[in-house]
Amino acid sequence: MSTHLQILQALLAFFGQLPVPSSWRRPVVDRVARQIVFAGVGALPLLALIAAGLGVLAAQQGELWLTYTRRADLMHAVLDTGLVREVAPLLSVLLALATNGAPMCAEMAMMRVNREIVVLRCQGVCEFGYLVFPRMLGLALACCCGAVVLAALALLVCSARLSSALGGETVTEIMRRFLLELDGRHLVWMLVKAGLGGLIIAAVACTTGLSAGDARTEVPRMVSSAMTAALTWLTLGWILITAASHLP
Amino acid sequence: MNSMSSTRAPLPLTLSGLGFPALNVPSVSLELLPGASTALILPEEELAALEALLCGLPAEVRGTAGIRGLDPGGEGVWNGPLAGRVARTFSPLFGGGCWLENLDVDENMLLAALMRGERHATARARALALARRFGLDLLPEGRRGNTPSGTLTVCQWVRAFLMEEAELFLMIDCLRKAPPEAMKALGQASRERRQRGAAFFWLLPALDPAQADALGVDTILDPVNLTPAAPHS
Repeated sequence: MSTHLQILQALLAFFGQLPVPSSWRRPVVDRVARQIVFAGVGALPLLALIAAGLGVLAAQQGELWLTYTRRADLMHAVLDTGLVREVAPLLSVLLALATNGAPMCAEMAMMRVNREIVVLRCQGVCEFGYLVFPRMLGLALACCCGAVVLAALALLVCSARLSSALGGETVTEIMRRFLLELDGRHLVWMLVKAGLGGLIIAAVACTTGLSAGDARTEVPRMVSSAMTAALTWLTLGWILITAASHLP
Repeated sequence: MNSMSSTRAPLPLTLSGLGFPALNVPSVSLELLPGASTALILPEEELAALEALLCGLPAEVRGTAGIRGLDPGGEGVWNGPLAGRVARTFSPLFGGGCWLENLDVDENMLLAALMRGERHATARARALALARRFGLDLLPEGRRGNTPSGTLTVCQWVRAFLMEEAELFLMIDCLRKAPPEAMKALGQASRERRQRGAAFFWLLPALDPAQADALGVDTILDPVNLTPAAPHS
């Protein structure tokens, strides 16, 4: 079976296992927690740095918007839409791919090379249930949290920058306007995009890693191939979600 | 048709026509009955090949293996019909993979039990009782690399015996650096499981009569030294 079919199978199996109580054994929950800590908490400093840069860029776009349109009443809604709905989940997912995709694929491939997968299987432990499912869930949750943090920090920095550039309004007032103008559907689509992006990265990384052969030299090749496959899947997934999010 | 024969349960383990390319010995066949305890002595290379075959991996060995009538290399057999039915130890030379590197030894020991749905406290208490029976005071909490190899051997026994429903014990190269007194306890534990119908297959690089006696091995197959299959006293 081709790797792409296996990735699709993993995504479908994830949604099949999610509501099944027997999928939530203690080692699985432990692994989900570890994944969230590794992917979410560990990436916070970098996330904050990216959010600061994004906030400054958004403020500059806001100033340009005012220069060209002179529609200050729409500026907050436009920036909300761009930051919350599109850029924050995209950056959160790309950050997860860069910091987690490659290590996850390499870990799976090394487990395969070291025959740890066989050891698991021969003890009756399902490798999807123990290895893949919790990583998918953990990374999806970490991406959602990352997108929320990224959007919140970026809006805060953007407010501070706009306050100092335009004058007249305090940071708190501008932030309040951002929050009041925020459409709830933007938040939902942000979480959907970030969550699905995390699922795709983990499914691709684990599936590709687990298809490694018996030689250690296979590991770098598998990581490279996982990165390519993940970017392909993310692009296609993003197009589909964006199209779905704009359906009437 | 005889209805008895059609409903007969499959044997715990069958090995048919095993031959090893680098070993000029007669082929080995055996049928392990419930409650039996048989040892097969092989050099390390052939032992590793047979271990791979019993894991369902491609192996440098002729012949076939059947576990409860199933091919161990079959799709989904370990998570399906064989789940929880086969307890096993792995050779320390099995790719270094007897233990998952990202878990401590005690987490490794409990993993299969917890994934079968056993409560953590119950599994840990059972593991501790088994470990004490085999001569360990505590469950080792460090990583594999920080644990003495003799202790790791005993930990593999604990991990295998935690499987309460096991009908077949594949005890592969399981005596390395094991303390002699622990071996007696292992023999006693295996006798108790055999009384409940479990079969034991000992795949070892060497086995002296004292060890065989301690472990309660009934039959020793040693194709290299041409020892005939004979009941051990």
